[in-house]
Amino acid sequence: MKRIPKNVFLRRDTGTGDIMLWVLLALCPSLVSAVWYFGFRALWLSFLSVLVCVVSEALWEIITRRSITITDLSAAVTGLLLSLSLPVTVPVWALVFADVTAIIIGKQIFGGVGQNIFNPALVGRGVLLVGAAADVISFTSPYDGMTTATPLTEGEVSLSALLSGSHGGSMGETSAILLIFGFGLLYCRGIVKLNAPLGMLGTLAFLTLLFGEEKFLTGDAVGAVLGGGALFGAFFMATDYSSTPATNTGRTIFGIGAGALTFVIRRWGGTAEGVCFAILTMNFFSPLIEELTAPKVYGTGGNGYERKYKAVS
Amino acid sequence: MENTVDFRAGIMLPRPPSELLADTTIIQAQPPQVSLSSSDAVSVEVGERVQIGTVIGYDRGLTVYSSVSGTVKSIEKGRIVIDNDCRNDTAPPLEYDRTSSGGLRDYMRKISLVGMGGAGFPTAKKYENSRGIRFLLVNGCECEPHLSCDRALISNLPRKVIRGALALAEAAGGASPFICVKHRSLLETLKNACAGENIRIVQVSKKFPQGSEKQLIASVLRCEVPRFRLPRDCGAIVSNCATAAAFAESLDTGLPPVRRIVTVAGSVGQCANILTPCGTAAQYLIDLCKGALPGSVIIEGGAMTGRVIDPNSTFVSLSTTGFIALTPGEINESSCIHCGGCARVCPSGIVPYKIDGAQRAGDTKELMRLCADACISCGCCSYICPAKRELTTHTTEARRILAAQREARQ
Repeated sequence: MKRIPKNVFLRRDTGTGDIMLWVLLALCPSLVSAVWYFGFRALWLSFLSVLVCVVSEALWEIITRRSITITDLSAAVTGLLLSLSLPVTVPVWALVFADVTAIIIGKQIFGGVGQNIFNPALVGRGVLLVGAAADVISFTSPYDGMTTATPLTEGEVSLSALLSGSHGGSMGETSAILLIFGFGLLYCRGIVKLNAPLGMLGTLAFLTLLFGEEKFLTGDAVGAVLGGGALFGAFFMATDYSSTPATNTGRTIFGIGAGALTFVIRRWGGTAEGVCFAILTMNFFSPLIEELTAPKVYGTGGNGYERKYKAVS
Repeated sequence: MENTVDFRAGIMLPRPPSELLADTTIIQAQPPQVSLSSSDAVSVEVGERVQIGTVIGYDRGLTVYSSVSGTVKSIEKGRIVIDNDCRNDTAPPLEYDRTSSGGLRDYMRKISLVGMGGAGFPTAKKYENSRGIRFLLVNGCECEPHLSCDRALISNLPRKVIRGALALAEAAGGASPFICVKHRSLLETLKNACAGENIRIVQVSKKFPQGSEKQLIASVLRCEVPRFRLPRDCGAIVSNCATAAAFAESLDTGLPPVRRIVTVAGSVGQCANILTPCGTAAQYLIDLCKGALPGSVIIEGGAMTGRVIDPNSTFVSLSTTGFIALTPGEINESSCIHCGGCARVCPSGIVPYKIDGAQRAGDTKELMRLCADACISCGCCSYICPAKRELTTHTTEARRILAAQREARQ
């Protein structure tokens, strides 16, 4: 219901829909690289994923008699994020299942946009990883369509391949350059801050460099950051508004935690890829981190103003 | 790099297009009639001749003086309407004792001086207890984007502001006066107008809400007013520059302050700063500015902190800073997306989205924990919110609930 504001008659132009639209635009370069390397099936899967997410959100809201919120595009963002974080060989049934799980379990049962504790796209992906691993983790080589490993398990992928994306992996996560470009768009629009991504990637690189191999200081930090889903996760999952702390310091802590957990899971865990569960775990701690890093209230001291009676000259 | 001082958080509001802003030229208005509020008692009769400065009644403990010369036309519902004969006859000047700060404070009370920055708090009450006051901040920041009445005042009458600041500092028991402005040009004007007086001119940031008392103290004195306390606990009193100028004028003429500069801006034919007597109808000033755009609403105060008024039944008072005609964009309140923008911009360091939620849920205990009482209702959170939630409405309401609760306990 549109009406004129009750007070504060100046409002910023940017609305929720604009923010989500920019996220979609920022994912477009990665979608292009997905189509370029993995063929039109990537485009069709992404389209299907967005459609299923939007439809399931609308259906849920019709059934529960809430107002329909698909125009804020957050469901579309979830759909695109989810499809791009899966390999191109994913069966259609698995994708649809993940989409519905993401929207219903990941988002709507918490109360819809902004209320969810976990990143919906990662919930969908996580459920697939746990429940249907064999179908999901068979990554595809961009050239022969054969099942291959990601650089994380295979190793020995050249830096140019890592940057351009001509290696195995999920649809949207292979081309580092285009991911950085898309994230740059969001950053320049002021939609996301660098805290969480830099914290996460920095910690991951640092820990990998130190402890990545048996011998101290011989780890492949570049491969760890560019090879798997770390960039994609850091740029588009660790910057999600709902499931990360709202404070800047909190976001830095979130990023550092996610980076450390990613490293731990990759190095000693059961799977080669740890980003998904690292971020999901940190999502769980977000409300706590936010509470602990809440800003200092004016008049309670500690805001960096010097104590009493010191005037400027 | 300008040598400005700054406070925590806040926002840089975009400057409205210049056709919506008034320049610093001051126009004089002579309305055909004025309507003054006098709710406690009326001391004139219909048909009586009054002059500028004649006592005509009492309103909420303050003496009401006529702002024009002319005849009383009607008295109803606590309002006295006076027909203006435009002769500007003045009543005999009031006596005062300039030699002591107590004398100045008595004079403040006598002339019913109130804060002219918007809140309208009786100045005499603010200066009542001058013990421990070390700083007098004269607030010329005017951070509301459409308002320029203080800017017009300072650039046209810098001497009057300086003399007023010195007089207020004296009334505060010899505090050291500061004048705070945000524009370089005003800083220069004031510095040039200072004839060796012991007064400091400070340039503050252009951020919103720099003009808020607490934020100004934080910027200039680098200390925070403790929670639940008043600026005097920082050893400071903050007064608007228009109050200072009105006080200086009153000391010169012996007449009570009955006129002020009002900004009329926004989508009106010709934006202007108008020097007008109290009691002028908002509609008269808007017509003087060639009318407001059809479909716009009239806001008293600024676009951030003001409220919508009916221009026919709203009259200028000493605390009216401006009338802004705006066509606000329609908004559609949606769910909070937890972006954290409100918490980042909040100059009080509270978390508006949480307070909003707790207030809607009626959780008073949580409101207390979230320090909702620290809200200054500046509107930054509502401005920044992408979900267009009415955060300011709810935090202000939360603060009101907590204040009522505290009062009940005492």
